[in-house]
Amino acid sequence: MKKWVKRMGILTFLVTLVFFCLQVCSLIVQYIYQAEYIDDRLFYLFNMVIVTFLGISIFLMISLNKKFITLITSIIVILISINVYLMYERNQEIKNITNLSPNGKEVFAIKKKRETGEATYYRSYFKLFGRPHQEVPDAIDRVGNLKWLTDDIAVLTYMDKNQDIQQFVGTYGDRRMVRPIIMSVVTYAGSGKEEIRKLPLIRMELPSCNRATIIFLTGITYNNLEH
Amino acid sequence: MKNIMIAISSLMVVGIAFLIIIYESREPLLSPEAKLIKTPQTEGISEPEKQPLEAIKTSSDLNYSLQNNQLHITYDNGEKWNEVPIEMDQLFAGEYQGNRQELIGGSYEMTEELVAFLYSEGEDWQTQTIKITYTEDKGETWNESVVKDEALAMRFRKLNITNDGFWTVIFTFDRTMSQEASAIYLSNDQGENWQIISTPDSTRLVADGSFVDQNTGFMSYGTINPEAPTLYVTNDQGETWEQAVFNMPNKYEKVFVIARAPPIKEKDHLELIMEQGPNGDYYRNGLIKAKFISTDNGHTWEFVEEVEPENEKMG
Repeated sequence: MKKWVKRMGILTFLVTLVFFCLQVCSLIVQYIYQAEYIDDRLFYLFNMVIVTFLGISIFLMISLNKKFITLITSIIVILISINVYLMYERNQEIKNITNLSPNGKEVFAIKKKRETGEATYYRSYFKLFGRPHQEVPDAIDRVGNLKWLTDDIAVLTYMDKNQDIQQFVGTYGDRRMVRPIIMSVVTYAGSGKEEIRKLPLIRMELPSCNRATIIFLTGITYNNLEH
Repeated sequence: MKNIMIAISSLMVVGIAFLIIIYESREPLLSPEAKLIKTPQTEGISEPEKQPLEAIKTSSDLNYSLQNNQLHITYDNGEKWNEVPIEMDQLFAGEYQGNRQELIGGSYEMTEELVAFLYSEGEDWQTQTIKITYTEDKGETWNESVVKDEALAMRFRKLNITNDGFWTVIFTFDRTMSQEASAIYLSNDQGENWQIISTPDSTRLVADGSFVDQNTGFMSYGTINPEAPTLYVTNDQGETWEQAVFNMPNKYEKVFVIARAPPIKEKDHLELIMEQGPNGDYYRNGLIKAKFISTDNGHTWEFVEEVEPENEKMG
């Protein structure tokens, strides 16, 4: 066996081990810290990575006869198929809205039940895990634009079941002390921008909401809807 | 090497299968807000669990608990609990707007020798039976005493047992706006027989009332915006009632306006505490009270001092 092939084999095997440990940790973390993957699809994706890399490492490091190659290939295909199916099913049930901040330090995450529109905002930890932090008021009917205003403020525009445009603001870093707030634009009756240009109503107040803050957030609303 | 790798790989494949099963069967995580919303719903469906009883302190050494929708008493700080054979609804029947977390003030007496509860029983609020259930053997046996049949639902209620074994029940009923009727019942034979006595000639809302001995009793009136204390005193078991006179320093005029019975009987005088009423705003948001004494069996009262709520020994 060529040396580089062996090295590649060991490397892929180690990658497999790392991902496997990560998967085990994700379940432990859930039970101890009530946290889970920030995006549900990651669990299935990592399973597929494990299976694929494990197969590659076996093929690279062990010389197998045709029968074994067929067996291992079949197992890999079956496991990947199962994970693809489960990921699809999960995605039909829960819509994951995740977005990385421009500086790559924060993750905005909302998990929405497709059937009811109920959505939960997640606080991210290590970019990979998240804990349910707050229920998004007003069930989401359609998800609109997600925009990072700064590296630590993200605004999600969405339409609720009453076809009113709502905005959810996620804050990170030092701004975590400020609760995420919800803003509501007066009823969105038509498609014309003029109708949306009405003053937004602050639905939940910031703990120390001052005039400057309100004006600033009003600006967010216009900005988001116009683009 | 080859075998080790095959073994580890096999374990990993099995492990992944297990991980998928666990992941798929896990309970969804809830935000703190969602947990709060979900909790009352699940509690409503399942049978409520019995909570360990926690004692509510009284002024005596005895404590009680209203947990698990039942009145219990304890003589030893919760080591042993005795169930009191009175339904919760009966304890709070009548005009009551509290949260049922504590017994209505004045509706019970608790001493080592005697524990008694005043309550009313009956489906219809117009035909209630006013009763006392009491024990003299630390909750081993309970006795019932009927104070009045076919009474209207009570608003103010007060059970008072003097040191010489003289029982009084004062209650008010039939309230319309700020007027109501009141009644006083006495018993000299530990609740066997009750006798009604006359009340002062007033239909204002009763603030408090009590007897300090067989003959001397007080009724205090005015709970809504009183401007001065109205306290009636009797020295002949209710045959005659006279309005007591308060020698109030000028600075306390319209400040201390509600006399709280029971006055305390000291060696040669009576003491009572006066409150500022619902609109009181004199010092410490109306919490400060005043102490008065009387040396003529409650007919005239002299101001003694202001009383901090935490230093109050009576009332």
